[in-house]
Amino acid sequence: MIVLKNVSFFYHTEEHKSGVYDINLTVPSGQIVMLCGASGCGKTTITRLINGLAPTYYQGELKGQILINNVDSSGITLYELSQKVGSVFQNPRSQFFSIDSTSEIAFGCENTGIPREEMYHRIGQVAKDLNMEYLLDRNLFALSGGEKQKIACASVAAMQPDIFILDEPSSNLDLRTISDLKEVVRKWKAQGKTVIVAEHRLYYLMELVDRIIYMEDGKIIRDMSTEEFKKIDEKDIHQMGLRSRTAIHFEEKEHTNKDETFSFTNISFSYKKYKFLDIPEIKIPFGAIVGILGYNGAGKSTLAKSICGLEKKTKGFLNYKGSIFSAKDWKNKSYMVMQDVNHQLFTESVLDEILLSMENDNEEAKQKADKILKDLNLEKFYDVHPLSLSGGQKQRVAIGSAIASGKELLIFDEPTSGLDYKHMLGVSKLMKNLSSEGKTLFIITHDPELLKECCDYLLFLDNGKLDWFGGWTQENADRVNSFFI
Amino acid sequence: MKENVIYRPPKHRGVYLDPRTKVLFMFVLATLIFFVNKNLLMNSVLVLIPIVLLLSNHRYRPAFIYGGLFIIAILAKLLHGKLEFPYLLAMFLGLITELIFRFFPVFMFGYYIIKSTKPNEFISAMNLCHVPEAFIIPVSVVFRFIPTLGEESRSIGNAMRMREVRFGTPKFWKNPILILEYRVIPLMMSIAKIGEELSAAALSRGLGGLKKRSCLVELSFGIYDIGMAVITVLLIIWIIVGRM
Repeated sequence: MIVLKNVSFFYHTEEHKSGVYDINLTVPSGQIVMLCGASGCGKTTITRLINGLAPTYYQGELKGQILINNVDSSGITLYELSQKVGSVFQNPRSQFFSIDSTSEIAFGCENTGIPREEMYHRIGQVAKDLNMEYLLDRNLFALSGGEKQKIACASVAAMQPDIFILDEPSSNLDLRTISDLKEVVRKWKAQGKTVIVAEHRLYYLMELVDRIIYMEDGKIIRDMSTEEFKKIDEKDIHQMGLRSRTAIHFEEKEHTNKDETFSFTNISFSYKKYKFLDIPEIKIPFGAIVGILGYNGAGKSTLAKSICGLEKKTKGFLNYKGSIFSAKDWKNKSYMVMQDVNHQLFTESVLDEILLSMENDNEEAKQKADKILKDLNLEKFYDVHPLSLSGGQKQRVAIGSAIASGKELLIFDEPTSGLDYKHMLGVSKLMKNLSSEGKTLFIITHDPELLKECCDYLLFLDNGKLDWFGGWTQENADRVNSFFI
Repeated sequence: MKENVIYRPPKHRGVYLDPRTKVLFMFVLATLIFFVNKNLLMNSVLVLIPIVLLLSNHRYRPAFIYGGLFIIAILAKLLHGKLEFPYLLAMFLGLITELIFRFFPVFMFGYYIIKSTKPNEFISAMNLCHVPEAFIIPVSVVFRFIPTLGEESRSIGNAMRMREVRFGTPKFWKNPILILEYRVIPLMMSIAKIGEELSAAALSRGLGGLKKRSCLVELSFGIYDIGMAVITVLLIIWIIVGRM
């Protein structure tokens, strides 16, 4: 059982501003609880208070009392707490300590001094429970994000805690692996464990969750049963900043008249005799917002990198406004906004960042940069260091430098992973603006809501081949529906 | 009914050395390398050991590159005095050959250790040797971070290419130092962030709480460790005899 009595917490550091205030919460054993709310509402802080990382690791001021299984958690060390509460975090890349998967599963057990023979038993059991025998003894760096997340779950489960804390576990996962994650939670529920999930994506857990806690500005606003939560009107849900509770249903949309096209021909990418991309021709209307869909390993990111000229082995031609470009010149036409935008922010101020993308930095360029920043609502941050901005602002700076480069094909890799409803809408609006300015956009996304909001064309890849391409006809909407189920 | 499924680790294939042997031999190698002054044959033996180990660990590329370099260095040494090079070039060549003879064996062996040792193996080996935890944990994190550095650096390189910040472009010539900054700063930021999240994940799984960790991998000296010990003894005898 978890009890939080009049708990308030403020972080000492600047970067985490969202503390929590006056939290009273009792979670009986065996309950599956979902914490939800817009970004910065304090749901992550609650998870940190329960697993003890706040205030021990994330330092701050704690008032009130936290009881884990009737023991005051302020009196015990993180190490003792780690045997009762297991945590899985958002980013699969940064939560493993080992290089091979089995060692990672054993990591927690090793730390708590479990004898080797017992560890073998637990690893075998966990691997069977979570259906992941095939992942044992593999190199972690070669696994996909979803597989890494499964290993993270297994590693925690091998410590056999009573309570599982999941902090936005699905943010970096695609649909197939999200359903794997759901099965993991189902298993824990069947074993009578307590599970607390902080999440933006609601739909995948709706049938498992017993109770939903909605937070705003560090306070618990509503504490509901799942039945109650299901009765809330869809509009109010979005008003609350939450994503949809049910799987999105796609429908036929009227065709927008974008008739002038450009085309890619004979795109191919081979590596070690295996063809990763093989697309004879795609005709894409100018100003289209193309959603790139496909399963893991279908070639989505290879295609995106190829369009940006980042894959040297790619061959093919682009027929664009009367000229023909071979693959190595595509980089002059296109620009990618990466999923981790930290990788593409180099300079010391937002303005420099925009200017870096331009040919020269004279007055004219500065005026142009001014306008770009205004359009992106970044005018307040001219002189701010880009890396001190919030995630969404960083993303807008990266988009700004894409616009400044004057390139007309923009590629976005998962622009809305981990975003709440409001921020997702913001991104979608930005995409539409870019398209109306004549840019053609390609979006790799697993986010059905973004797809529905802003994409007007769909490109489905399968095994490196173009399965189909087109607008929202009835047939294509059905195809997307069956993809997202 | 509860089924019992027990995990069994795969058997070691090929040459498997205990981490303790590896670390000890690193010291042996680093010491011996100073005593092989004029003895080309012995130096070759010292160079061959890391190469053979790398090959046994399927690291063909570095093994062949280093092997190739070594052969060139030997040729350079044998040709020494027979060919006249301009003074600067000769000095440069001499320096490079010495590097290849003296430092590279140790570097290559270090590379082999990092590539062939699992972090948890390393931690428990060091624990068995009573090395303090304050030393073990940071070093084992280095093992984990080397592949990450590569991954992150590749993404940053891609981002730089997209913005035409790279060697030789007009933007580069304007301020060549900047290119280094652009590569290093994002790398440091992302490593710091990964490090922070990694620490949180490790702490929440009980790292650093207990004096006596257990280890999934069973450590014991095997036939290859004995082999290494024999090689070490032979090398030392060879040196002593050679000096007499």
